[in-house]
Amino acid sequence: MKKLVSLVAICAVLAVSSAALAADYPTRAITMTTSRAGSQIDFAARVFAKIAHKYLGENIIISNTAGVVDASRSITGAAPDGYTLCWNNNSIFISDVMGRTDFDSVEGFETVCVPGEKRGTWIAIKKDLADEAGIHTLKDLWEYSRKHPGDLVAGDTPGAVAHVEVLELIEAGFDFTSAAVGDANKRLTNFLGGNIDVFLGAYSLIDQYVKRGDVVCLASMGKERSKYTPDIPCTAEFGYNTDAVVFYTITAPKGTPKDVLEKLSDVCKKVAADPEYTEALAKNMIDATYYDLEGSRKYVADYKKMLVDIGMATK
Amino acid sequence: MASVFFSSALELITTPSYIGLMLCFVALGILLGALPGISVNMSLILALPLTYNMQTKTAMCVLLACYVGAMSGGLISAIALNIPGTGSSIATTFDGHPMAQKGQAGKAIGVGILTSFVGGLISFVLLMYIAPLIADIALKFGPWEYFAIGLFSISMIVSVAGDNVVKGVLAALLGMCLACTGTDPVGAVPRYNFGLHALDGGIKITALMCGMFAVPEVIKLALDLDDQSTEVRQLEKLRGFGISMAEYLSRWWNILRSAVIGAYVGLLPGVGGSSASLLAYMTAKNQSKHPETFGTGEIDGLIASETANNACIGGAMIPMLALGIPGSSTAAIVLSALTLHGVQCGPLAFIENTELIYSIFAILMIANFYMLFIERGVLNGYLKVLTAPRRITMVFVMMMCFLGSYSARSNFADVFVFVIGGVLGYFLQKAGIMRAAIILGYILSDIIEDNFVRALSISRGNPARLLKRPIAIAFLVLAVLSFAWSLYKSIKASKRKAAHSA
Amino acid sequence: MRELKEAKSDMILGTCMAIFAVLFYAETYHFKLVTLRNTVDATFVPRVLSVIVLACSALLIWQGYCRYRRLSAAAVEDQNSKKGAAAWGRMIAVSLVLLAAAASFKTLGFVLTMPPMMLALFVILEKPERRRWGLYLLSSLLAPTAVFFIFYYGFSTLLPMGLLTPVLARFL
Repeated sequence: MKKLVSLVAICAVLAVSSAALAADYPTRAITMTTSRAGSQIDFAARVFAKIAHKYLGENIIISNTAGVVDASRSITGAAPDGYTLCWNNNSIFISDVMGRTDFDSVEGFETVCVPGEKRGTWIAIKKDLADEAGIHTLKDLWEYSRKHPGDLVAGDTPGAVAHVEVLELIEAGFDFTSAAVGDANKRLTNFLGGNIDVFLGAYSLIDQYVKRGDVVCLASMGKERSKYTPDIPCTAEFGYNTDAVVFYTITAPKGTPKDVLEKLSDVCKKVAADPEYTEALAKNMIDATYYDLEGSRKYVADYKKMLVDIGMATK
Repeated sequence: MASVFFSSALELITTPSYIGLMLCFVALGILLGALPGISVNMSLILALPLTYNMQTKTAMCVLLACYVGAMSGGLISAIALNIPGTGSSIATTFDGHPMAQKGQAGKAIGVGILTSFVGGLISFVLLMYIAPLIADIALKFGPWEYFAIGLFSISMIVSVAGDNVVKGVLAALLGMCLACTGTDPVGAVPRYNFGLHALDGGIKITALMCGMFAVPEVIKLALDLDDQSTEVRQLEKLRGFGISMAEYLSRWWNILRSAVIGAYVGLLPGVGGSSASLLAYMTAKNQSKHPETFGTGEIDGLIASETANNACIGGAMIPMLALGIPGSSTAAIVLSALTLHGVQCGPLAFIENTELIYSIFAILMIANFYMLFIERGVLNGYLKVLTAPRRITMVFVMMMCFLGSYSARSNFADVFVFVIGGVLGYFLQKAGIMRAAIILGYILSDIIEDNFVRALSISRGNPARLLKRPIAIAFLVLAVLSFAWSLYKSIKASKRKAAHSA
Repeated sequence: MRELKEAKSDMILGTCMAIFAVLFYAETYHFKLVTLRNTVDATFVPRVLSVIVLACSALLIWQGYCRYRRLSAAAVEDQNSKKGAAAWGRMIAVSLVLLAAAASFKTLGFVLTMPPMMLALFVILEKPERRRWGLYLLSSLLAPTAVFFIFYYGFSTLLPMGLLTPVLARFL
């Protein structure tokens, strides 16, 4: 009897103190895992960490891992106390749908926020090809590819967002041969070197070449023109229903207390409104966004569902 | 053009904040590079967060100073501890460490510092004057060319790996097999993870290199408690850089040739310091009048390796600045730092961002000078630490290796790779399989497989496309010749051995 | 005599590498493949490598065997036993210490695993009469802690804290 009473007392004290702890959250530095150092995700994570420090009161330490899957995996076993978070991008959902993860990218975590979006992948070809084949608009490219099926080689990165984009174009009727060439830098090298014909990627990579006249940018993939390149038409204008988006997510281990999540969400809201944050991201053509807890969860779940619907699992 | 350079340089050396920052980070880079377990890339990654709040030019001061420092600091670890900090320092261990064991530790490091400086100087001059012109060469190299270069590099490793060609091939191949773990470079298929997703990342080079070089040293110390053979000594007081100007300059051809090799190899995106220093070393050995001294403490070998790997820095910057494509994984980190500050590199960078680009050249040059003085300045202090009893220093080394292996990507499995790879490395080394060859094979595996698969992908599965590419064929022919030469030497050596024991 | 040992070790090495090659090849059947058009898949390079390794191993075994046969005829028993059991024991001890440190790295953290490991290594590597306990204890306790905080404050890199999390967290 005495033991039971003391046990109950201890539990009560613990419950009260943990509630008190939650109210004080955070009391020490938070670790946020992310992908490789030097990558765009890493940059965005560090910008966020630096600015969130103002509103959170504690440091957010970035811990780099080998890649997006490792970043998420490393928090699956962590204590759900809000001191371990993960900053990731949407390729984790692609990896999940393709069966490359041993956890559920949506249900296995608490989604805190979607703090940034990057809309737009630009479709470009070399000027020489454009002149030779008479390709001046995206429609011309479409017709050319259908007249010469499989001739045009498009650079691809299997398992990444670029893969989704190439697939979308092929679905829309472009008869490309997709060549797996590796990450964005390798796609650029091979494109410039003439090994692949069609480049899909960030505008910043080809910006200088377009200005110099070596490269022609035909369109940006999306429902509306990118505000960063208002002169370049979007695929929707030609009637193609393709979209290309990279978005970031902040996740916490499953079971993290609701009030911790709400506090984090609140911080995200303040960060998204902070001009230092929005400007830093805008320099790299990323839009700062804020979705609340419920909205973020829905966003992420819908995205994954979309991937399943377009058949990513089998591709 | 030159005026922009000189005005940038002037500003850098007269503004106290720049001076302080650069001195500080060159010193930091040297310190980090000299620590076993912390590679050049890791040093930059550690410095990277500090730059996010800075102005672009200041950020470049920090990163490039750190880069130059770390690259040169790596030679200290390679020579004194026989643990290369990065792939680029592996060839330095071939002759650098034997020199240290012969009582010339200070001289070896001194020569290393001097020749790193010269190598860097030559490549930065090249960078300034011909970067935009030769950058396009980088584009002519497609997947087939890289595949051929990879095979050629493997043939070079085999020729370095001792008299027995079979063991040399086995070593390089073992390295390549180890590199097949993780995900395959193109399809991202997990390989050799035995169903455990935790092993999806494969084996990381830092952990493997630390393991294979550091752990066997500890095991050797444990096996014989009286063993003094691995102690590092500097028997005479070190004056200057340990070498007279006359003696150094008498090797001018080696120096110039190695610098050009280093710069040129650095130019090729994807092929970095390890291939550069190896190629320079091999060339020096083959062109030497006494190739048999290489590997026993021959200064020419040390000069070749260190000149080349520092020249590689300038080389790797060329495609980075002129094309926006990094020439090595370290340059990729610098490039991402530039991107984060909104600076676009590429053909127009020289026109649109002239001041910054020439500041970068100036920073590299000045950091090079600072490196020369700082590293030589601290050398005497370093020597006191490095010549301490090995049984003490190696334990600290073990701690640093644990740190380095883990921190590379916050992965606990890497620590196991360090330990297990180390123990295996000891036995393999005893059996005659050179660990340097294993590591180099590992580094090159990516280039070979990656490019082979891509080359086929682009050629639509038709390997005959290779025949249309003369550069690739040239390297393949070189590879075959180099391999045949190793085979010939190996057969001669075994005949000689048989004659002796008969 | 050394040649004879070399020949024996070559044969052992060759056999081990051959087994490795076979296992390496066999494991490629477990890959979950992704179809890539127009090019070889993820099993290609591992299989090519294992075949070459197998060939080289066979060659090595053959080489070793020939030399062994040639030399053993004229061999003389080597009276100096190279290393005693104590030496092997120390080597195994070092390996076990390192392995134990690696295994406990995650749960115990950097600051807790390193001191015992360092102390154990210091002791194993030195003869009893030459041991400097003061130095060993001081370095094993101070160095890891110092390094931990240097890396946190200097480089924003957090080393594993493991069990010591509540304690260390106060200082962060």
